[in-house]
Amino acid sequence: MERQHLFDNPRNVQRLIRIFFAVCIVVVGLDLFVHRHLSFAAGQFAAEGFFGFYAAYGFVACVVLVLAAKQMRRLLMRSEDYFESEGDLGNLDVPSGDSVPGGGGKGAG
Amino acid sequence: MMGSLHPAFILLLGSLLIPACRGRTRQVLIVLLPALGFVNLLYFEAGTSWTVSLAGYELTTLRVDRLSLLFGYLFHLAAFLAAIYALHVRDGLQPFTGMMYAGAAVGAVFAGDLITLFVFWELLAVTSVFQIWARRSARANAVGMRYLLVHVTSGLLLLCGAAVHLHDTGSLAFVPMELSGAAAWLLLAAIGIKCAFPLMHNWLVDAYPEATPTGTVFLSSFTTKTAVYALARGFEGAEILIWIGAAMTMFPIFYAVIENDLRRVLGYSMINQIGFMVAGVGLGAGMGVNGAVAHAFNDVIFKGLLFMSMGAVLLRTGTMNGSDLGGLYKSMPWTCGFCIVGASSISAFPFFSGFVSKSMVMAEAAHAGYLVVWLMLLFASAGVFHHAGIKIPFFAFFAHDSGIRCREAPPNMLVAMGIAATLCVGIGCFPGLLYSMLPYPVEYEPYTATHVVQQWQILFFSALAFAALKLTGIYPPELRSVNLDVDWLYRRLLPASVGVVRRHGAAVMDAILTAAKGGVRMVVVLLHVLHGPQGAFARTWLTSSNVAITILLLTACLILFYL
Repeated sequence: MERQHLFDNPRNVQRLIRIFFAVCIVVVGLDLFVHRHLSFAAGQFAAEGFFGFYAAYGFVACVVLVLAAKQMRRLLMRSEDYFESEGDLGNLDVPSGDSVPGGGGKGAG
Repeated sequence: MMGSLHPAFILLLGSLLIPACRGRTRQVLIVLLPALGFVNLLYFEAGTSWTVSLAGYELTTLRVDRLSLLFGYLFHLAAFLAAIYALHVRDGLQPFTGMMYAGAAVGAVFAGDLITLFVFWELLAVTSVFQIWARRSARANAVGMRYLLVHVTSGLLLLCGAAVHLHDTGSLAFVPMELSGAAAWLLLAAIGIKCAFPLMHNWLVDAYPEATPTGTVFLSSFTTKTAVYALARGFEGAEILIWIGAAMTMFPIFYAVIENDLRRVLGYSMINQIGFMVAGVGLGAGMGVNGAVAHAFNDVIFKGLLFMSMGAVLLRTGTMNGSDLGGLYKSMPWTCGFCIVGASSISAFPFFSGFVSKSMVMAEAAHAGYLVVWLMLLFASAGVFHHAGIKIPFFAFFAHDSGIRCREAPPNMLVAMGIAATLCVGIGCFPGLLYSMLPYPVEYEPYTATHVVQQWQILFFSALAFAALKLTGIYPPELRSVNLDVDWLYRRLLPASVGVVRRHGAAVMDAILTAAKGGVRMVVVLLHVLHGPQGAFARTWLTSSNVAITILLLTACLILFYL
């Protein structure tokens, strides 16, 4: 029997996720206490000074990034040996989007 | 003797001794070379230059100033780390060409004229390709050949640019230039290829993941950073670079999200990081160039560290696919820890090195009022954390347990990673020393409460997005696959087109020839009908009918004249 590692125990994973959520709340909350200096000159980009602007931008940016990349797969993804197989224009077919071998949707942590 | 040798001399000439040595002697030699080179370099002060006359041209083989010195120190440091990392390699070819490659990079940054630059530029290409070929597989041979073709093309463009520049200005000196005229554009294209500008970037993500585990560490340090140096030297303040740089930060991160080969993910994130440098150079003298150069310095270390950690994983597990890895924190805890330090640095976490340099470029973009560029860079900052900061360590060391149980990386690899990780944290916490070496005086304070909180917000909420997408199962799984990029044009469309021509060309040619023959036959028949023995023009005509025809024609002329 192999020895138990840190994240083999689901409770540790849960604990890590909880701590992480708490940290997220704290860093947004800090916006209320820190006097903010804007990067842009006054009037150029007021949104930068809104409460939680950076947090919202980071979150939205990453969701957009992942969703867009997922769509890109439909267009760009080919089998692993695509370039090794015989070159032929008739062979440029598009595979179906997200056929998942072996799952991996929900990993630990 | 020290100080009287050209900075590249020790690495270039010393590397020739490597094939002659074996075992411990060789190990000592390859670590000693960059160390000796570094000591030699310490004797050089800004302002020194050496010239030689060759065939009537004055060549500046050495130009020392703050910009070239910083890159010189950096390349010796990178060569030193890569040498330690590669100490266990038995194949003599790799350290030999690797050290020569480092020497070429040092020579290039100290080159004061375009011809000397060209020589080292080509030497960079020729020596670096062996880090790929050293894998000794058919695939590596093909990749290496593609890599070499791209870089030799870059060299040829540089040579053409130098020739046109000489013709236009009568000088070969490599000095800042305006983006007008053929010479400047040729030089920019040459540098752009090595810099992995959009559409010219494919060689990087094609070749770097195919090199040996230690080879990628060498490759990631020198070629692109030499190009960034050349860009900073030749084109600081060229506005087009701001937009090129912003584009470079954006597009690779989409690819990085869906790429399965983790070293290829790092290749894409490398283009993203170079984008920040290119944008910085475009923002011009002062903080822009300072940010670009500082980021180049940090990138060599943290990207080297990330490639080192992935190289160790590849060495121990034999695979680099995110879909096959996972749970390695159990077997390789030290490598995992160093990888996380590198990931934190590239993501620009406060107190890690990326933070103190990337933010200079961001701040300058805001200061100069480039709102769209700034928003793009901010998007890319969130994105780079997402794919390089989280994806790399997560899929290699955590995620689902792949069941792989292997040994920890060899001690020499751990030492190299340890030094790099220490530098990442050291520079992040005490940026003063790096700032003092930058080409322009620095008036920038990265550690303000505002800035730290902003950065934490953007990073933690990027991570939150990852966690949310992962827990809801929306996050795209790692799949064994190839994603098409610009290389599709020359690896698929072009050969396929040639194939089509080869297969159908003969038939088409036959048809054309048949049609042509038919046309010729028609002409012959027509001539025979008109001029042959029974032809209309060969007959004997009556004089009276000739007169009648003439009168008819003259009448027609007369009528036309009066109409």
